[in-house]
Amino acid sequence: MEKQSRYHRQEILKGFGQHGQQLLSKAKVLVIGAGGLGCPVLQYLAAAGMGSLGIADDDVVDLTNLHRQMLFDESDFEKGKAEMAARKLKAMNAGVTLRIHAGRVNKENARGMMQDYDVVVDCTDNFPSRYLINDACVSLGLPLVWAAVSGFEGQVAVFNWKGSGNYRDLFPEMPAAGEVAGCSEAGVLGVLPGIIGTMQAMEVIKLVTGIGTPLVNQLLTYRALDNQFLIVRYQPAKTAHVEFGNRSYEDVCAPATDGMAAGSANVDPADSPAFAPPTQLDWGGFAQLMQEDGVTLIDVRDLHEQPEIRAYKHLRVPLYELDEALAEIRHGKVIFVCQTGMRSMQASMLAADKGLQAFSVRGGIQSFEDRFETLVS
Amino acid sequence: MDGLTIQVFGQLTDIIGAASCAVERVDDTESLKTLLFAKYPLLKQKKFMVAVNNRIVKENTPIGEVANIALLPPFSGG
Repeated sequence: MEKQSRYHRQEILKGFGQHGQQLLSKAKVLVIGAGGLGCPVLQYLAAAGMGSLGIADDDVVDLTNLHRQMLFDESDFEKGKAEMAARKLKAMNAGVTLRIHAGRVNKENARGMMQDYDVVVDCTDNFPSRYLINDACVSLGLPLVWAAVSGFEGQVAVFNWKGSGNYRDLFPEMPAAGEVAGCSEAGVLGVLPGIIGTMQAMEVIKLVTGIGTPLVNQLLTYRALDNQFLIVRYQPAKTAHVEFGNRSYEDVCAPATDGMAAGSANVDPADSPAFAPPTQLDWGGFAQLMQEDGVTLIDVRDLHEQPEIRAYKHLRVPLYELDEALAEIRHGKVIFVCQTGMRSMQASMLAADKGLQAFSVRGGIQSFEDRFETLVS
Repeated sequence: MDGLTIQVFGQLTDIIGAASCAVERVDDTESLKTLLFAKYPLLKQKKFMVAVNNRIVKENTPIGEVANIALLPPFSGG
């Protein structure tokens, strides 16, 4: 009877009741990613009395996680997230069965990991995982509660519920690596994944208990800065069925090499003709190129972004103003830099399109902060 | 109604420089894309969906008198 009183406040809800609570207590939910989204999902589902929770995460707790991942504290540094999360959740509600999946979800283990669960929750932070999880859920017929965040905004959707649309109906193909920035590049306010993650937890409860209307064939976008909720509907596409496992989920990022890492083949950029694809530079390549005459360095971050480059003469042109600025540069080599190397890659593609010999600093200022900040004599 | 207001989300705001932009009225979504690509060339490199009156449209779709239009890119952060 002690357990009943624990859930009393939701058991007295009309339409939910003890029946809803029983359904929760029998449900098995797999949460993939115990980060900004995964923490609130796990916390609320554990508190709500979910029967069984799986926690999949292969990462460790980092200092920069703590502003948004409330399951962790300063004593958890460098410890495995899945295990730490399980420990906290156990203390929160010993009645929930917890399972730890400490390995990274991949093509080989995805379906085996998921098949014992009733609902999968995607709380990952990268496209390859998101597409992989979606495709595995489609292949197993499992509902997927999906969400993603960017800056001050979040998206939520329920996929593959009773024949509904799935992630590929919205975005059929995976964006290229570097095309869309994650939290480390775009930043995220700590509260935001808290709001979006609790919405995911709510959708899980709706699916399990049958209350309300889940976000089926709909995509919800929330913008925190002006409190805007936008729900758009989409038609599930009749896409050709692709056998699970026959797709690639690799990041299409070129591997880093010593010196100059060419974006395409091993072409010496000095000999490249006009319209050459942009080249990514590591620190050595960058420093070497900066010695040459006629090289322009452009910082494409927004004007407020820190730290400022003090070590090198440069122009500061935010990405959205770049098109006009490039009209003034007719020849020579242009090196672009941003916080992590993603926007600078876009900028260099734009410049290469215009016939400029363009370079992007791989890893950006974040990777070489001291060297960009230091004044060189 | 002399113009269209386009709401943009995610990192598309970095390209537009704001959360929305105003453009001249066009007849359909293909013309809108052409117009936006000319104005903001970096958009061409981005994947995004176009929603007209809260419906995602994949094929060329007429833009009627009252149309709220949103460009929605995929987010990956978690």
